[in-house]
Amino acid sequence: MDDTAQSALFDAFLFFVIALVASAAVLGYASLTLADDEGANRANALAYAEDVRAALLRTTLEDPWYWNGSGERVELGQGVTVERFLLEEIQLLSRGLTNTDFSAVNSLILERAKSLVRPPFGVGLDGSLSGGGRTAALWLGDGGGPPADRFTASWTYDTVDGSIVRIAVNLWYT
Amino acid sequence: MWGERAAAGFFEDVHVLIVVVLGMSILLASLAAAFTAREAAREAAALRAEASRILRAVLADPGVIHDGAVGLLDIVSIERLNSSGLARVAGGVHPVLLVVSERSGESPRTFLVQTDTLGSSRMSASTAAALWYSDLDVRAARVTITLAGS
Repeated sequence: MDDTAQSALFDAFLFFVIALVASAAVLGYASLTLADDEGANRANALAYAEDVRAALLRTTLEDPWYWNGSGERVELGQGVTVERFLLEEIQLLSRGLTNTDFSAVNSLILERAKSLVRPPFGVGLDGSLSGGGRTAALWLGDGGGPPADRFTASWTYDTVDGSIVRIAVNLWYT
Repeated sequence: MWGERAAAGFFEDVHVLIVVVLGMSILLASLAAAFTAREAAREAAALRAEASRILRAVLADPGVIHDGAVGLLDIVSIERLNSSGLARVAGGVHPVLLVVSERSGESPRTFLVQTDTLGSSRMSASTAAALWYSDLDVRAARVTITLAGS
């Protein structure tokens, strides 16, 4: 092989390397632009959390009940929505009742929420009461609370005694 | 008349030719792959947006919801909803499948309405809603729209 042929082969390999780099750049750019938009995904998940909150709180419970302070079973009757039950529960928690007094219906609400939410989301509900000289906190879900990276849809209610009740639905990727 | 190097020179250039053709092929193939992937993603995004639009249209349609409340579906309207009614609500050209699956209440039911046969290419959008039976009985439901691709 003479010098001219060697030079041509060297040029060809140089071109080959440049073509490889250019191909990698094209494919890398394409994969970056095709990656899911994180902002849009977050907005969609927040909208879904709001849909779950609205739907779940609207639904009615079948003969909900709880134990009152003197250990008697209090039947609330038919047509009580999840929203009304949780509002009443949080108010009563701030007046000294415990989560155990509501555990039967809380389990039903959590089961319903889990059944309603589509994969790959996990779900939990939290509630709180502040103001009016009283506080209360409620968590319905696995573990001690929602994970830090979550999608929350919440609603606040002003009560006649000056306290503020907040009920939230939290979704997260499992 | 050929010189002594003519035949040898050709075989030396074959190596160069192969390397150049290989490089060009890889470059063109990667450009084609990027273009195809981009087109497919664009079509999927358009179909996903259309499925979400139809889902929102169903949840807000006055003929389906109860008492004007968005996301609160009337059970009688859902039971009566047929393919032409769904096509009217959807207002699109793609075949649509609506599934309303109850997640609470005694013996939960599933409702299914379809405007036309769906092909193998599909896109779904799903959310949560409530089903109104009466003021004493409101059930949770998953609502899913599946849209056929082109």
